[in-house]
Amino acid sequence: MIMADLLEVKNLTKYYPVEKGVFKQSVGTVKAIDGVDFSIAVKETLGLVGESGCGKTTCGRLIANLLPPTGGQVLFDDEDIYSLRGKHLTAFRKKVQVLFQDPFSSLDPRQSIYDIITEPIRIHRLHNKKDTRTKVEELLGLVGLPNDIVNGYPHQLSGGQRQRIGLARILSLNPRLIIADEPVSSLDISIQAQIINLFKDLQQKYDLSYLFISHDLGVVKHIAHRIAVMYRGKIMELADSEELFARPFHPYTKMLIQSIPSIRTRKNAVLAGLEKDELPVPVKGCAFYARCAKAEDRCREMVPILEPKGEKHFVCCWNPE
Amino acid sequence: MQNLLEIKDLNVEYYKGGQAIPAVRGVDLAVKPGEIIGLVGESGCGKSSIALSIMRLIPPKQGKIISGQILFAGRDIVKFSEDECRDYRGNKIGMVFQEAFSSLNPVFKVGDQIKEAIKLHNPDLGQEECRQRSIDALRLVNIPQPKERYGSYPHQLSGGMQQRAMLAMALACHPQLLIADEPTTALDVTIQSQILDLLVKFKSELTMSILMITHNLAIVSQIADTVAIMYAGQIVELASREKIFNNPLHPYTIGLLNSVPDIATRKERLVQITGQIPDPGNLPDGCPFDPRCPEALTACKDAGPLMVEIEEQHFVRCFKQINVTQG
Repeated sequence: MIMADLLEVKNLTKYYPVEKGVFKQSVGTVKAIDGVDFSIAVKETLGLVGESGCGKTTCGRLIANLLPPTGGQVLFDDEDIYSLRGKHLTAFRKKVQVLFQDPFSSLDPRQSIYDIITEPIRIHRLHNKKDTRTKVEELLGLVGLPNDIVNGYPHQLSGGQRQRIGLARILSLNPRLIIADEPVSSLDISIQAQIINLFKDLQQKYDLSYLFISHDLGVVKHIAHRIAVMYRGKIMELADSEELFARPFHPYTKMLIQSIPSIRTRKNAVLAGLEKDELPVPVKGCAFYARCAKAEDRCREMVPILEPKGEKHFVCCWNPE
Repeated sequence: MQNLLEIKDLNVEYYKGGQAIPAVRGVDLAVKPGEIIGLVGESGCGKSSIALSIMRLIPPKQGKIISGQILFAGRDIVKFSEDECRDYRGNKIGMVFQEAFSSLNPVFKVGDQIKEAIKLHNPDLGQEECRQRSIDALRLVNIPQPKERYGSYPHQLSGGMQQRAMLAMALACHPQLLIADEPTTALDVTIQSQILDLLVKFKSELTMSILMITHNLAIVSQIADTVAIMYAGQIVELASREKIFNNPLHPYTIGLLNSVPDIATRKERLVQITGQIPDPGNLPDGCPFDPRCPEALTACKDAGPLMVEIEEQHFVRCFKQINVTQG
């Protein structure tokens, strides 16, 4: 079912300089994204998971062309997105849309719902006034909201309704890729399930691709076809969703999966290991070295690379099992 | 065993635009010594209002306890004077909140903030002894190098360490009851599991009772002994953890359990509860869950059901279940 690649990320990097003193002397770099490769096919959902600060949001912003990269390429429809200018860039911005985590701060409180939904249509001059009204009704129907909501303002809506408005606004441009950054994290469980199902329905209907960024492996398992696990700006493991949970190879993936509480089974596994913020950033070797229970000498010395391990399963570890 | 905390018919209201909005509506709940109770519900269901009522921390201008009793070791907290409240807060009952960083004072060292709580409740203790006890509290919550960490400021600690420091502060006076309001929601899963392990350790080693308030059913299933499910200001189901997760009876509980994207299963489509929670200022006449309920009866429209013990120690507020048991 998965078709050709829509998006291809090649050795993408983003470094931020660390500046000190009044003259802002550069004293080092933070490697927010450090050599990331993956692709997303048409009608595919790629889940990007990791702990806070691992670079998953930065990765989403780079792919949406909202941040310039330090190095590497992102190909969308075989075109390098960072070399796009003028009307080609505008066309790209129509095709790739971002949905943010917090539906409270991402909708302008002074605009009516109608203005919020139609803003992209006005900017890209897609419809005349009369058509716009029909289009809005169509969009509201798609995301399951009543028509009379358009006269209201964001503060009158619940979190779930706001997230639906965010989706309606995005869909007005007929995008092909939606970068969803923690879109359900701030929602209640019953509403979260509604939105996840809505994501799936829309994907079927419009052949949408998603980059679904989340810290919640449970949510990602239910929506993503493939999952990439990120740690300190690097992809540690990449595999089909089922495969990743059935046969995780990387110690970090295992640690993440073990840490998630389940309603089905009660665990008494006590996890050893320090918190990531307490650890020094390794100068060389594997990024996960200091937290890893299976670390060896070569892990400290040499950086592992993302290598195939089984069918469509990639692991970045010297010692996978 | 005698109950440590007993809430009887608690009603709490908030004021909004001249109108009284009910937040907690006739809640009964008992906590035994050394028990972890999970209080679960979606946002706005009144779970945090219960916690604030126990701590007597509802801002007087925004709302108040209308009626009911909160008995702690036999004494009614609702009737306490402000001085008595201060003696209880932090001393007999500790509390940790969701956002540790905004709960800590950014301009004081974490150790000194813990020391302040100890000194306040134990005015006879000397400075050095208070200091020693706050270092012990830091050690208790597994903060590495507690002596060095005593002098750290909140911004120098990671999110998990801040939450540990909050726990240390809540535990410094050895409370009999700890109220934890979404203590791990802002944390990464790996850190979350460490904090949960800590809570279980306190329960068994310090025989402390914990009232765990969360929207996350999975967390409750990991650590709770008893689970209370709240909806629109009422407890709709109350039972042991095993009964809630293996034999849920209220349609809302069943719906919630089905809509959790659990890592142990994978479904093509999550079962969803349709609709949204009712507006607390405009609740339906009958059962508040009726508009969303897949199994609603005609009786549900007219009056709200009462809490009934369907099987031993399994309480449900649902007409359908009452009909089933009565044949």
